[in-house]
Amino acid sequence: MRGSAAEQLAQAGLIAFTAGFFVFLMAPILIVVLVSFSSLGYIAFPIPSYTLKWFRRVWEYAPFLNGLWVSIKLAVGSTVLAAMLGVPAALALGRARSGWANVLATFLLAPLSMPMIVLGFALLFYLSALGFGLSFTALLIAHTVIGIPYLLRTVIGVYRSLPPDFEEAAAILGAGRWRTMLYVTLPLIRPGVFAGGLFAFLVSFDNLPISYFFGTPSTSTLPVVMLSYIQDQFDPSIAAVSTVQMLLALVVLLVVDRIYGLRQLGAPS
Amino acid sequence: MSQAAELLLDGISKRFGSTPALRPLHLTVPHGELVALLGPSGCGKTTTLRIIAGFERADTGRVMVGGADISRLPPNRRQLGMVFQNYSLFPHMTIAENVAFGLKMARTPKPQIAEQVARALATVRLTGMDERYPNQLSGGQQQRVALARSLVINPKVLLLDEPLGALDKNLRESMQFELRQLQQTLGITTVLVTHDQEEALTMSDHVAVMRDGRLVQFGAPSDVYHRPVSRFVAEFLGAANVIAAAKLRHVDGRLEARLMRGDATIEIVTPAHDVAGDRLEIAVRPENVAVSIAPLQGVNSFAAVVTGHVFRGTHHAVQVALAQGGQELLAYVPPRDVLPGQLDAGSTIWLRWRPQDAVLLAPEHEAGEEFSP
Repeated sequence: MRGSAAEQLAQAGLIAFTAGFFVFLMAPILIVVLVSFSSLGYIAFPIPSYTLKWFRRVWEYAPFLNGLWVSIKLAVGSTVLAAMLGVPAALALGRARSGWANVLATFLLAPLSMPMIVLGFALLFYLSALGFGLSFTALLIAHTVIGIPYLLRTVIGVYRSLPPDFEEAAAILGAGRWRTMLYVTLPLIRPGVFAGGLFAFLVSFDNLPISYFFGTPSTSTLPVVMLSYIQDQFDPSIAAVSTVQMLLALVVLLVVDRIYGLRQLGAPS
Repeated sequence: MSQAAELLLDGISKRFGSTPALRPLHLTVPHGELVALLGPSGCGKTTTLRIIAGFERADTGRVMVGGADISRLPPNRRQLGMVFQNYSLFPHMTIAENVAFGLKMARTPKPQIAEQVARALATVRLTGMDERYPNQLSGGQQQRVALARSLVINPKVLLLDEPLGALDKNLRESMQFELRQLQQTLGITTVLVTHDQEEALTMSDHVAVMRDGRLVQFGAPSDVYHRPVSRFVAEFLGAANVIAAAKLRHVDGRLEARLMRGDATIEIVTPAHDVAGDRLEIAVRPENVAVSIAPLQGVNSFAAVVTGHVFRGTHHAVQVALAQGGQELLAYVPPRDVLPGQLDAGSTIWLRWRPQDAVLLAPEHEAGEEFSP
């Protein structure tokens, strides 16, 4: 159907606004990617000619690769842990009628509203007092704490949007609590688990403020290594490693899309 | 084959906070019968069904199936079937997997599952739909799958929670007959929850009319329709003229009363023990009011003036005011009895109904009155 002239104008305006907004958001990212191929010895744009030498530098500079490996292990590990803790919590809190459920949910969501610096600082002292010190385990616990709110929020949201009829139907058909959970509840909340898990993974993967407090040569994440690198060097290898990091995040998105379909995330049909 | 059993509700009651949702209810659903719980929302019918299913625990009383008390069993061990209002088919499972779910939970061997699922789908005329997903089916088809899913486990009692509420009118009517036929063929004890009086009357052996958490009338569909015990039942099960009158005399099972509005007497057939007090309420169904253009004489004949009329397809609904005193009444007139212009507002017509077609209503319960078991 063809709209009136005013509607067409509004439509064109909306498209222009959206396009402008995308340029504004995406241009800096695109420039980082371009700069990583720069032949110059410092970061500048536009670039005179292309080279892959900064990627070679990233490959040869051990702290980058070590940091990347720590970041990946950390993001995967903390996401799995956050799911193991957050999903049962969301199921318990999602249907709870008690006022305490809200208190508890707010408490579990608190890391979202706390300045990360404060959280990192507090966790450092707390985990040291518990004897974890500056270890990978301490880092894993800290990242799990910040991952839980993302899983909790999305899973509670999806679970609350499901009518209780599905679980009641399973029960009347002879399924006890565990089998109802396994065959009906978990498959139905899967979109929420995937969406929340994706957030938790990405938040952990480029987290700086928390990881910064736990920095030792064996526990430095990629963002921490990158920060200390640009403190005394300003060559395009930092752009190259950023490009690698973005590429990895993109791969994760594509893999999730392949397994599940991003369109379905957060919107159970 | 069928393991259907009698269902007995023995004084079950339920409070939510301080609000009584269900006052002690005694009800028997004989083996193989369909009983409809009928009433407006908030009358306690859904609470009753949920207590039978085990989703709510009754504060008092017992739920007995085939003589065994199941009140303390969780829903998954009650061996009941239930069709939910929105069917609640598992969206992530195919039709075959949905129907097989109950059998799988009962650890039925695989070859047997396949065979029983095929038979159940054939029963509800959905053969060949096995591999589809619920969202690929129409509302009526989903409804049938839900039915197959609950019947395949051979339940002792089938619970239907507004099973046709989400369907459009034509489909609903054909499903009413289909569902009733299936229920009778299988001989399965069934409880139907509905707020649709027509559905309750069409489908059930007995109707339990509920209001404010209590059972107000239990009887065969024609009984509750033609012999309502109260104004509420009379009006909930269809249109009714409720006429206020004062008792004059009661002789030989015939009650003579004087209209509160206007100088006229009416007669109804009713046993003496029903007549409590002098002020009475009498109900007459509009389809039992005969209308004539020529003057009528005799018992329960009245001259009236037409105040309005609408054509409803199967009948004309005619609103009149009695010439004597202005009591307002509604009459349904078959279209073939009406010539154009005869029922226009302002026309004078005559009404008559048989004394046995009028019903004496019991005084209404006071709202909030406690009912002790």
